[in-house]
Amino acid sequence: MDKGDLQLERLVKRYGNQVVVNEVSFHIQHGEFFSMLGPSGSGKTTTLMMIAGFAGVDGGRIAFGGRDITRLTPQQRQLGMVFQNYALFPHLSVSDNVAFPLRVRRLGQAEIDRKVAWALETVQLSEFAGRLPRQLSGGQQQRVALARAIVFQPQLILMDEPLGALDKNLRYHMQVELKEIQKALGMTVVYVTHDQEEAMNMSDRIAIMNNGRIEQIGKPHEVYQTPGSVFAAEFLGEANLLRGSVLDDSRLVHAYGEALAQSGAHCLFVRPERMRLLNDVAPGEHEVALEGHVQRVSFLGNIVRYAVALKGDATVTVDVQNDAAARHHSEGDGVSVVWHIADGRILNDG
Amino acid sequence: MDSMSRSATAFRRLSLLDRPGLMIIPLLTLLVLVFLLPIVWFLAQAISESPLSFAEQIRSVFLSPDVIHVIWTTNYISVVVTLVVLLIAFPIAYVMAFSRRLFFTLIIISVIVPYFTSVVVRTYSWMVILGRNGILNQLLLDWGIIDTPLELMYNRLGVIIGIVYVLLPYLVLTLYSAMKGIDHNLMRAAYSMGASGSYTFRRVFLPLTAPGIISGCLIVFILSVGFFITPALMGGSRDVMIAMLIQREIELNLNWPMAAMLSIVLLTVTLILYAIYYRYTNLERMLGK
Repeated sequence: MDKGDLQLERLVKRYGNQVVVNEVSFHIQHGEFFSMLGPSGSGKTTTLMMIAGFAGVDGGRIAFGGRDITRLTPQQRQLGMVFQNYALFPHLSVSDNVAFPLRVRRLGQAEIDRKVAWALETVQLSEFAGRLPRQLSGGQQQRVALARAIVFQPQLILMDEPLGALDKNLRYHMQVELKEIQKALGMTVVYVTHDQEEAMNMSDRIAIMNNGRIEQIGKPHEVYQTPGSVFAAEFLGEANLLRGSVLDDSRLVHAYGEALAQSGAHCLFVRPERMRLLNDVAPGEHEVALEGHVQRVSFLGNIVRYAVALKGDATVTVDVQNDAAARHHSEGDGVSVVWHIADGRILNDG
Repeated sequence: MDSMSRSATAFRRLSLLDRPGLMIIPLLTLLVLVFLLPIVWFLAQAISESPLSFAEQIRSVFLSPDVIHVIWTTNYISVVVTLVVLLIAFPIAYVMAFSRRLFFTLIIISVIVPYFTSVVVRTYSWMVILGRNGILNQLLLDWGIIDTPLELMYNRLGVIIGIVYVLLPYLVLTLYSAMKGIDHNLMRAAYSMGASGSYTFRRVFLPLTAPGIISGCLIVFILSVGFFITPALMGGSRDVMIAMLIQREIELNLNWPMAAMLSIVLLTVTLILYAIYYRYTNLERMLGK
């Protein structure tokens, strides 16, 4: 195992009778940006707190760089941490906040000054060194928290929804900035978020968590394109899930096999942007087409979103790029919903 | 601005009662009539009764060795009381701020119930405990720890124990609210950066509690300076505090001008301390609690 690798083995956390983290295992490589993504109560923050040493471990083990750290105190783990509400010390200036971990380590003043200057420069806050945290905007406070976490160059940085309190535009900007710093410094990051776009934008790999378990781990496009479960499919963006009598269609059975139609145990998953709408043109080879009529048209700027009612009481969402070639359909129009067979995926509907 | 909101603004300007300054006029009138005027009137009457000029009266107060002794005693007792209260209240508030509901309820009840009990009752309870034949002396004698009863009352020790007990809840509650306002993640952040428990306490927790400590100690000191019942019941002849002296001048010596001068001294000290207190509570708000 590499020096900076983090390994979780069947990690368990209970509160009373409730199991909040249920046998979570993963292996993060040095330099990787790894996100835990899930709704609130999925156990992602508790898992992070166990890695940090703030929550006791009820089962399993945590190893970092090959060393078992399950029973170590937070101080002994030497990890960087960025909290959701930044947790900046309100009585200390920006530079004193950033210098805190260095003063704890009793470094010399000259070295402290040098490292603080480097960290503040990295997050582009050099001219704010003398300010108090409350004199900064949310985005600037966030960057101070980041500077404070990277200043002692820890092997691993944990982040608990660090961008959760920022507004949407700033959040995207900070994602890009954070990712660039992470790549430049080669940091290993474990990142917790409930925002799927954020996770996909920054992560090398994503773990989707639900009810204390990991549903799926993979690269962002893998998890998005080929979700392993209905939960993963629905949590990462829009998903069409066809169930019930719609599936009793010879064309679908021909494309996906007999198993699909059998007794509601499966459903068919297709992303809205992988579907097309046609009126009179015949579908191509390796494509499936189902007839229906346009129920609603939503203009969303870059895309036009159609809700199409299919025969058999199902509705699908179809996203069409709003480019010059796009053909407009009106409410009530009869259309065919078409997709490439490979873009459909059979999921266990449990 | 559209016409709707413009007319709303105009209406707000017309309606005088919307102004917060005007709303407090009835309260202000009441305070001036029943509180401020009587004090000023009493002080003015008392001072003008004396054949001496105001400056001479002030000089007579501050040149009297008896008065100076009383002022010194009052300050000494108040400083000791404040320090002892801080020493006891800090750990109690700390435990309260970090304990779970059941334990918290137990502590808050044992802090609040005495707070709402009459000071006279509480002082007499201490007299039962601390007296020459009181519970404490009896126990110590029975266990053979001491041979003769300890002098726990009718001296400075008794006064300090009594006042400390009465004023404890004020500081506990002030400190509790200051500590409760501190984000627990700040301590976690310090630990994650490698800081030990004691380092975190000194560099993070204590500085953030400081405004609460200062304002709470000022409140305790202010209340202690003006204390009357406890020193009167539990003190000895050498533990006369300023409030007792004022009462004595009025009831025994019938020297109202002297009582008035002493009242002015007490009032001035109290107002100055309140001004400092006000500054620190503002500071607390500035820290963004």
